[in-house]
This record gives sequence, C-alpha cells and structure tokens, in this order.
Amino acid sequence: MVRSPARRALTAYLTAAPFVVFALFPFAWMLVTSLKKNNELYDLSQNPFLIRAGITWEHYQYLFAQSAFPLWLRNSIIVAVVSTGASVVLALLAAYALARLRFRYAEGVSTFVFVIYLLPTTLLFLPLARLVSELHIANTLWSLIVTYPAFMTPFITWMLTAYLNSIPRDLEESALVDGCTRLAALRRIVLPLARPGIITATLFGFTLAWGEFIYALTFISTTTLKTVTAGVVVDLIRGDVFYWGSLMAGALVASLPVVILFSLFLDHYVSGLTAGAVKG
Amino acid sequence: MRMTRRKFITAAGGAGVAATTGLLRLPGAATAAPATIRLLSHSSYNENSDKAVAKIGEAFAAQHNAAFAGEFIDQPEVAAKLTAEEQAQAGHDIVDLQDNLPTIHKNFLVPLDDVVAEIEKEFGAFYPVAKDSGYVDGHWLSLPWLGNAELAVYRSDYFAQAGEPIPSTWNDVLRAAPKLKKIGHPVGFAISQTEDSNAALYPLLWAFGAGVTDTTGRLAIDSPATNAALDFVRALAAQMDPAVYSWDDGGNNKDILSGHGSYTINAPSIYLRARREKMAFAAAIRQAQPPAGPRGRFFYVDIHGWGIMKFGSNIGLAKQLLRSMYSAESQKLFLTLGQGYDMPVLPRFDANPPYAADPQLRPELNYMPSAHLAAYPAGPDARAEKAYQTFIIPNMFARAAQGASNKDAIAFAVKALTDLGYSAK
Repeated sequence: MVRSPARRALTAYLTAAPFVVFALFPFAWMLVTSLKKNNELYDLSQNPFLIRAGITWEHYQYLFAQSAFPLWLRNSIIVAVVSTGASVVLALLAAYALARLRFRYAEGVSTFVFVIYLLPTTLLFLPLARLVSELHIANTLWSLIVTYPAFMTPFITWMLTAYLNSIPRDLEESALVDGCTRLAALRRIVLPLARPGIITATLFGFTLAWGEFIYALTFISTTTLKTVTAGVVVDLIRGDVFYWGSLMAGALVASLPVVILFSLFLDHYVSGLTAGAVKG
Repeated sequence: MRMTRRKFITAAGGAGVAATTGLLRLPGAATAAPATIRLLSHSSYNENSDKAVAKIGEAFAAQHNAAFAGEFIDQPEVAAKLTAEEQAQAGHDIVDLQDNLPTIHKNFLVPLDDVVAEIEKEFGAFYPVAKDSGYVDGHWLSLPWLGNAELAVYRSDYFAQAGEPIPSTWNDVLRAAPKLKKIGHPVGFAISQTEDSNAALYPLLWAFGAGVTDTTGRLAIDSPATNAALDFVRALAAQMDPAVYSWDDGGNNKDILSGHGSYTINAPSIYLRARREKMAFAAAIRQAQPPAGPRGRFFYVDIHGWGIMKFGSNIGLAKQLLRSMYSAESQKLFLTLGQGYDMPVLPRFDANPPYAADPQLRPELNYMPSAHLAAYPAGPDARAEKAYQTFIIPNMFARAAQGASNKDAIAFAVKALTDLGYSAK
C-alpha cells in the first residue's frame, strides 16, 4: 500500500511534535517570563504561559544597560572559542594516534581518556585552582582558557576517536604507499573526510565551555571579566530575592550563540553523528 | 547580498579577533601599582548594603594610596570560592564569614584580637551572639559586622478575614492555619534544604525545649521535646502548601509577594521589597517577633563577619580597613543604607538605629541580645555549622511531616549528626 505524501508528512510531524515541544519548552518559558512585568511574575493565580498585563522590555533593558551582561557575553565568546579551538587541535592529534597508530598500551590510554572524561569538573576545580595560582593567571580569562581543555579534551578525543575509526584505513594507506608522509596523509586525506566529525565535536566542545559554571565562578572575581553563566547567577540573585525576569532574559540571550552555531552547521552535525551508523 | 555560511564565519571571526585584542594579554611582571585590598562578600538582598561596604572600602583606599575591589556574590557560592582560594593559597584579603564558618576556616584566618580590642575599647563589647560567631579557640578570627533577623511576616488583612488575631505563639499559628487555608491563603515556611528552613526550624526546636546538643555539646536531639516539636510541625505542615518541601530561599518570598501566602518566617526582605516596589498590598504586610513555644520565644540570627586570610598580600592594610569600618560615620552610613535589613552587632549602635522609626522594623529592636546561632545551647562549633550547612534539622522535620514516624526521623538525625562527630557521651 502506498501512502500519500500528505499522510506521510502528517505522520512525520505528529511523531516529531512531542520532541519539539519538549525541546522548545524551556525557551518558551524563558521568553514569556522575561517579557512579564514584576507584578505579574508574582501573580500565581493566573495562567503562567500567558502575558496578560502587557509586554515589558525592562528586564532586557536592565540586563544590557545596568548590568555587565554585554561584557559577560563577550568574555564567554572569547573563552569558549579559544578553549574549544585549543581542545580540538589537541584532541584531534590524540584521537588520530589512538585510532590509527599501533603502540603499546594504546587500549589502556584510550580507556584512561574515557575515565578522565567521566571525572566531574567539581572534583577538578580544587587542584586546578592551585595550578591557576601557580601560573599567576587567576582572575584573568586565561584561567578559564587554560583549564577548560582539562575536561573538554578527553570528551572531544573520545568522540573523534570513534569517528576516525569509521573512516576506512585503506584510503590513508594508499596515500602512504604513494609516498605521502603520515602528517600529510592526516592533513590531505583524514581531515577532509573527518570534517563532519570534527565539526560535531567542536559544537559539543563549544557547548561545554559555554555552559561551564564552577571554574568561571571560582577563578574569576572581577565583574567585568565574568562569563555569562557566572555573571547572571551571581549578580541577579541577591539573598532570597531572585530577579526572575532578568535571569530568564539573560538565559535566553545566552543560549542564542549555541543555537546559531548548531543551525549553521546542522548538515555537518547530522552527518557527523550518523557516521558509521549504517554499514554499506 | 546573500550572506553565505563562509562569509558569516569570516566576518564573525574578524570581529572576534578585533574584540579580543588586548583582553588576552598574559599577566606581566608585577609593577609598582598601588596595593589592592580585595574583599569577598555575600550579596545582600538589599543592594545598598553592598554599596555601603564598597563606599567605606573605597574611602579607606583613597586615604591610603591603595585600591579597593569588592566582590559581592550569592551566599551559597561564597563557600566554593573560599575553598578554591584556600587550596590555591591566593585570593581575597578579606572574606565574609557567616555564623560558625570561622570554626571551619580557622587555619587560614589571621587573628584579629588587636582590631577587636581597639573597637571594644572605643565602643564597648559586641553582643554575645556576635562573639559566638567570631571568637574561636581564644582568638577573634572574624570581626562581626551585621546580623540578619528572622521575623514572623504576615498579611494582616488575611488574618482579619479569617477572624484570627496575629499569632504570638506557635499554638496561635496552628489554630489559625486551617482557617487561613480555607480562605485560600495558607501559612507556610520552607521545610526543605535551604537556609530559610534552618532559620525557621532551629528556633522552633528551641521553643519546644529541644536542641541538637545540651549546653556541653553532647548530642541531645533524641528527646521528648524533639518528639513534641515533630508532632507540632507534622500538624502544621498538613495545613501548608505541599510546595514548602521544595522551596528555596525565594520560596516564601514569592508565596507572600504573590498574594497567596499569609504567614511565614523570614528576614525583612519580603516587607522591604513590597514597600519598595509599591505593591498594592504592601501596607498589609506586617512583621512581628517570631512565635513563642512552650519553653519561650527564641530568636535565630545570621551573623556575618569579616575574616582576613593568611595568604592575603595586604594583611596590614586589611586590618586597618576593618578597623575603619567601626567609626560612627561608617556605622551610620551602613545602617542607613541597610534600611533595617541589617542589624548592628555592637549594642552601642543598636541604641537608636535609623530603622527604629519604622513600626514594622521595630521587632528588630532588642532582637540581638536574645538571638542565637545554630550551635545553641552549646558554644561555637564546626560540627554545628556542618549540620546547618547540610540541613539535617530541616530534613528531620521533612521526614516526619511527610509520613515517617518520630522515631525514624530522630534516628535519621542522630545518624547524620553522629557522622559529623557528635556523640551523646
């Protein structure tokens, strides 16, 4: 029986709808909360999904005009971009070695990388605090750029190792037979083929760095050097009073760079995630 | 012109490099810049309290050819920052230490006996509860700075509607609770893992004659008085909104400020915010002393004091700054900007504080002499601070109120407190 295109589309949309609602709910909640007036935010008797007393931009105005939010945003971008770039380069070399080179303890190293990836960042921040102090980079963006790779590199290495394993060795070996050096084979053969995987790993790495909280809180003190995650929480919760409108506005705006990045590279991301899923 | 992905990335990258220039310079060698006194504090609900500290710090720095950098962050984050700095042996010069935290951080703190001696010589002795916070093992390890009261906050119009007088005792609260629930405005305080819950339940426990320990510090939670307190909270919680088991510190604020709740235990932030934001029902929000129990009325207070870290690079200057915080001018500035949210810890400045003119803040007068920290009735104790920080008492009450027997709830508390080092012997 052949189903009509309309029916197929309907089935697809109905199947996807619950996931879309689930994924978009936090954004919708943040948006609605950020546009409500304070008095309405406190009114528990009404439908929380509706804005009845009119839209207000005061929470956004407060965020951009009276807090250091624009600077926090800038700092987050710098830290996330630089630390992700450094982590991807390090992880790519490590993943290539683990996936391609035959050396003693390769399997042990691979497991070790995975175990390191499982270490919670809240365990690492105490020794890293010491490191940051020894390097005299406390209270600078460098303290985050240097320490973020500690949890990003194992994660990206783990992702890239799996991806590189899905690329046939024959292509690379042919290049080596034709006189290519190992590094040239990596650059000319492996990297172009691994692009979707690298982009996917980069996106995940960027998201990790963007959302990191505990290092950003403990290593940075100056308000103008804070990242979004620490700045919003530290400055918009005062004692037992939560500035929900501005908190939600800050969270919404802060989520946009990640949304934009994923949208830009959606095609690579999908092919990166599904590589090796189907064997030909 | 169509913006391709490649063009977008190139443009964004160019803008990023431009924005980054200068920001990522590695820190160079130390120059002859003036010394910076760095202070870490919790951020007060009342932003002006932080501004007062910053003003005092900046004025001092200007007189001493130094700079002042105050960092005010949410209270729960202070602990993480402090721990990281102690590991790194570097960080702020002056830190905010709440309640019995000096007992936990004592190995990293510079004794302030000389500073306190000078202040007490000029202005008289600190309140005993302030000494309970700052005085550890024979030394002043933090200079007491302020106290935050925990008052009964209620809606006078709802009590009138329910035909109930304003509660003076916990039994009054229990009698009024069903009527207030019936008119849609239940009483409520946090029975959850949050500071407000500690602040409500410790004095309730004391008001029933119970306590974590006896006066000598021996474990005494397993007592008939604790059983009575558990029975009482079980009965009262049945009249509350079940959300009280998941409230954070903002839970009761929101409950009252939304117009839903009728009665809670809190610092004056609810009252002050309703007044500041000119909420329609602001005039109906009133404050009173916390209710009394069978054994009397007990006050809980949060004391905040200043400690100086041994690893700080400006210990001498930091001590001078702390000394300058206790002048008539500094105290007047602090208490005026504090708006009654912060109470003085020296009786000298508590005689006629600026907020005394407000009838709703008058319950704070004579509050400090009767107030206690979590270690009460014993002296300052690191175990008491750990019990407070891990919410053992709220968890015990939450278990009882949600169905556990008194025996099980108390057994839980005894086990948790024993794990912290308490003993009945």
